[in-house]
Amino acid sequence: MNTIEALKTVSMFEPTRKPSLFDHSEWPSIPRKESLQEDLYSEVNQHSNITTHTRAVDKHGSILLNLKPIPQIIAPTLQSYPKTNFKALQKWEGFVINVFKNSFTARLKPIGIVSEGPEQEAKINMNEIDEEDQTLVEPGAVFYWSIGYLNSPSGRTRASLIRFRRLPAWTHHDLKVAEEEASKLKGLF
Amino acid sequence: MPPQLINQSVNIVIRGSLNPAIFHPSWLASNKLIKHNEAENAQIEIVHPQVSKFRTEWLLLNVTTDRFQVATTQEPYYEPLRDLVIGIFTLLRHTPVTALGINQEFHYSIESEKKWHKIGDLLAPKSPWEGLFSTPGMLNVVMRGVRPDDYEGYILAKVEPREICGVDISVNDHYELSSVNSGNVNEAINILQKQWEESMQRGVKMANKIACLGEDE
Repeated sequence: MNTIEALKTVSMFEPTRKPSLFDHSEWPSIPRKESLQEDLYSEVNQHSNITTHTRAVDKHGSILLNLKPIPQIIAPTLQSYPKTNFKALQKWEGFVINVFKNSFTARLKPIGIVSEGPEQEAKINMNEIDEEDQTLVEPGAVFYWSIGYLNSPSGRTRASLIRFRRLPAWTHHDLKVAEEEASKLKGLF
Repeated sequence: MPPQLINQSVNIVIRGSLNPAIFHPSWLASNKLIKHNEAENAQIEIVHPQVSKFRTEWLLLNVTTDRFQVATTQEPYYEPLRDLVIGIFTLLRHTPVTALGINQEFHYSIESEKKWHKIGDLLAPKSPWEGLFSTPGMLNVVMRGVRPDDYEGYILAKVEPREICGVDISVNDHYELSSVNSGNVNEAINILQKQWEESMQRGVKMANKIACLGEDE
C-alpha cells in the first residue's frame, strides 16, 4: 500500500490527553512513542487554537479553519535505544593531506569528550573507507574517526568507524556569487 | 562505583516555516547529504505535506510544518548529524527559521537506591511536602538558566527518574534567532559551526554533575 492509499484509510486524529507543560512543543525533546501523537497534536493546536477538533469555528458557527486529518503515526521512539550501539573511546576530526592509490595521509585532531591531546598525522588504508565514501577522499576532505566498542546483544567488539563529511556541492548560484566577489576583489588590486 | 552512562543521544531542532514533503531520503541522497544505500534502506514512516518521518541506521528525521528535528543515538554520528543539518539548510537557505536547539539526552544507571534517592532529595527536597503528600517523590525537575555567551536564548536541563536506579537527564541548548527572515538560516548554520563543541561539552559536564550528586563527597 503506498503512502497516499495509507492516508485514505486512517481515521481522524484524536488526542489522548491535553498536552502538559512538559509535553509542550517548545521543549525540543526526542519524541517518546506515547507522546508523539500529542506532540503533533500540539503543533496543530498552535496553528488553530482548537482543543478537540480538527476544525475551528467562530462564535457564529462559521468555519475558520478546516484542517486535514493527520494520520495516526505509531513511531518508534529514540528513547527505546537500539540494541546495537557504538561507545566511542576516542574520536578525531581528520583532514586529508595526500591521497595515494591504496591509502591516504591525514592530520587528526581529537574531538568529543576526550578532546585533549596533540594533533597527529596518520596514514589510513583505503580499505578502511566505505566504498561510497571513497569518492569523497581528496585533499582537504574532512572525516570523523571513532574508535571504541560496539555493544550488541551478542556481545562487545572493538570497532573503528570512519565517516566523511557530506555537504552540498556548490550550486550554480553559489559559483556565480563567488565569481562576482572575486571580480570585485580583483578590481581592488 | 560512579554513575554509569548507559545511553546518550543528540538531537538538533530548528523552528521555522517548513515543507515536510521535501524531506525524503532520496532527496538527501541526491544532494549527497547521505549515502545512496542509506537512502535505499531507510525506513520511511511517512512523507506528507504536514509531516515527514523516516529513519536510517543512525538517523531519525522528523519534520512538521514548524519544526525540524534530527537525532542520533550513535556517538560516531554526532558531528555528521550537525553536518547534515548544515547541508540541508544550506540548500534551503531561504527557509524562515526562528530558533535552534542543540540537545542531548543522557541515561545513567546509579549504583544504589540510596544514591539514586539522594539525587532526587537534593534536587527536590521532600520536607516542604511533608503533611501534604504521603511519600512524596520527584517526578521530574526542570531548571532554566541564562546563556553564558552573547547569543539570545537559554540553557534548560531536565532531570527525571526512569526506573529504580535510573535517571534521565536532558540538556537543551536553546538559541533564539534574531528575527523571522531567511537570514536566520545563516545564523543557525554559524551557531552549529562555532558553538557545537562547546555545546556538547557543556551538556556532558552538566549531566555528569547531576548524575554524581548522589556520590559521597
